[in-house]
Amino acid sequence: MHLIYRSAQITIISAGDADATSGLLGVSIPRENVQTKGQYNELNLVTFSPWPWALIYYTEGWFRRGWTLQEGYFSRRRLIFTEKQVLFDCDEGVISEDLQHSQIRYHSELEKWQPNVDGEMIYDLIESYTERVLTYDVDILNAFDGILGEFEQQTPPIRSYWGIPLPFDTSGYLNGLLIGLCWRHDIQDEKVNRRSGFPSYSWAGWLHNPDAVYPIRKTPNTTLVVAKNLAILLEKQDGLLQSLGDFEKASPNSSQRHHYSQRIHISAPSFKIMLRKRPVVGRHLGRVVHGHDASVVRGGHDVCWSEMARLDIPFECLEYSHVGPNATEIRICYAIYLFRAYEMKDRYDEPMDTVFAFLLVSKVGWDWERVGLWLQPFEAEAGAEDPPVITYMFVPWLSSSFSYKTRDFWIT
Amino acid sequence: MLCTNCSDIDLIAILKGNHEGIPLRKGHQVWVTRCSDPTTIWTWDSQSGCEFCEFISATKVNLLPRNDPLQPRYLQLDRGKSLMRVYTKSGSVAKLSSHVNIFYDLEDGKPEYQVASQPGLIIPFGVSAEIETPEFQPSPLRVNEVPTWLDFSATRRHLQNCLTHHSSCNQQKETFSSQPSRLRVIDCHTRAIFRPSGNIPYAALSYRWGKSNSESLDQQADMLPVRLPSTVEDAIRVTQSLGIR
Repeated sequence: MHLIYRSAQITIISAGDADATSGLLGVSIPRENVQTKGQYNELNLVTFSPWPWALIYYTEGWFRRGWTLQEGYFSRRRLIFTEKQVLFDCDEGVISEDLQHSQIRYHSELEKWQPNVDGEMIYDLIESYTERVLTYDVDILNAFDGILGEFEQQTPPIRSYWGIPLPFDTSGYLNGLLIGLCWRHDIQDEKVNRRSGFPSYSWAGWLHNPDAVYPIRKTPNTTLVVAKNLAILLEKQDGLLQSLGDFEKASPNSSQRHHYSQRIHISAPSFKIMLRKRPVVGRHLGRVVHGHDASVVRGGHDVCWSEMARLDIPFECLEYSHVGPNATEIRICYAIYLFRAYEMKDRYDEPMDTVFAFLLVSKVGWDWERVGLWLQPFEAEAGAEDPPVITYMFVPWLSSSFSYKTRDFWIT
Repeated sequence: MLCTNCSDIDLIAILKGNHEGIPLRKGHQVWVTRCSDPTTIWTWDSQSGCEFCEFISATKVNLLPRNDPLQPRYLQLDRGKSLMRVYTKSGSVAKLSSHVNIFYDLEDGKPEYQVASQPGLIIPFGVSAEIETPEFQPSPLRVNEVPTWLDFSATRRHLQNCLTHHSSCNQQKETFSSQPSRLRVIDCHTRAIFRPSGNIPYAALSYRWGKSNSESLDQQADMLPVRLPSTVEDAIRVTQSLGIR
């Protein structure tokens, strides 16, 4: 489907609130002028749209639909019919009707709709895509397949596994997969639901509204130290297990998800962690949203690590443990230690010196499901490879946990 | 007529770009100062009967999101700059233009933060007629009134200009440029549906289907049905106007 947009000379986009039956504004529907006009002595003053993308970004129509991301992404040029005016958009910039002779370059995620970009962009596209709405839940990867396929064409290919992007490096696909597991829900409503038919460890396994974000990104200088004894196997539809090495050798189109079951097998150091609820309320597009955050409790004392663990599900859904200090409720789950990484950056390109990544899982029936992600960053200190807090506190705390050992998890 | 407060702004100087004001930080906005006292930032003091005060009141009504619980507490002006491209017969040239931003401070949060996260709280305006400014680099931004009906000839000009002058828009995706095999296109004149032979220019449409009870298009049909959803019908008109068949 997306190929149709790629080879078209221009794509006409109906971006307003209207649907197929209503027609295009300015063509068969008259437009109401919303510009304010006024005088200052002999000058005629008129307002204009400062950032034309706001005309589509803050509407619930075209821009919030799942399938339309690919339709816009693959188009060479876009003629965008918004509620207020028509925008002509190409790689050189955007021309709006309210500015004479305008061609302005704006910074927006739409501006990056260009092919052959570096692999980093796949994470941004996933973030943008998960903010959108699909009529049919099962389309979550179908409506994104064109983009995933495009990245698979790169050299070296960025493959994908249930929507998790897998950039290739010296580790094969292991580092890519580990970083790919490190998404979290940025914005959450009270109700958070799994998307049936898709695995919990993928962003595709959860229903909108949770918008997935990738809070940590690789830089050219990133060193990833994978947890000792960590091994990941992928389960195929026929029940056989495939190592990532064999996955790499198989031809790219075998990454088609229907060859694989939803389960992966992770063997890695893990331990039971105690969590304390941390209510977070924020605002998104004028709406009040809730975050399911928890603090990781270190011990009997009421001391927590500064960085919070982001839960995929409400805190109350975790297994109850006991009432801790200050009458706070303590709940537990397992933390799988994935890696420690140096010199990563966050999604705003701010450097992150050291970060530890843990996947939080709980048992559901016979298998395990992902329930959250815990990223623990530390600031570097000049001259030291690791700041003292890592050497003297964090790592000893981690490995001295009575439950710390290598375990096998089947995660669905 | 202008009130005393409003006539204390040298709006022409700001639009021409030869107004300095007070810089907030390097390379950033310049706040508009009073003519009578260049060290004091001008703020709005609403007076009835003043044409500029009326203009400012009206921008608030038209451009702040309706039902927004956040209401502006006070208002300032600053000079905005945009890098624009101006078309000439031989191509386009980049040019710096200046306009004025009406800047609302909201009750909760810092102004700078609010602006970054919520567009709509900066309301920019320019002038709809030329001001003679040959000697100044940032020229005043010329603003059009968006007409009731789209000017097809302008859109066609933008497309032609992009096809002629933008090398990056035309060479991109070259490696994948073969047209999809299942592609079927509509001839906008005859309304016939056909498989194109070879690469022909065509326009695509991206829209929401909505809940319309449309009959599915017969796979074998070679003509469009007489009655189409209005959006499709309009898209056919636009495509024709762009010079694409």
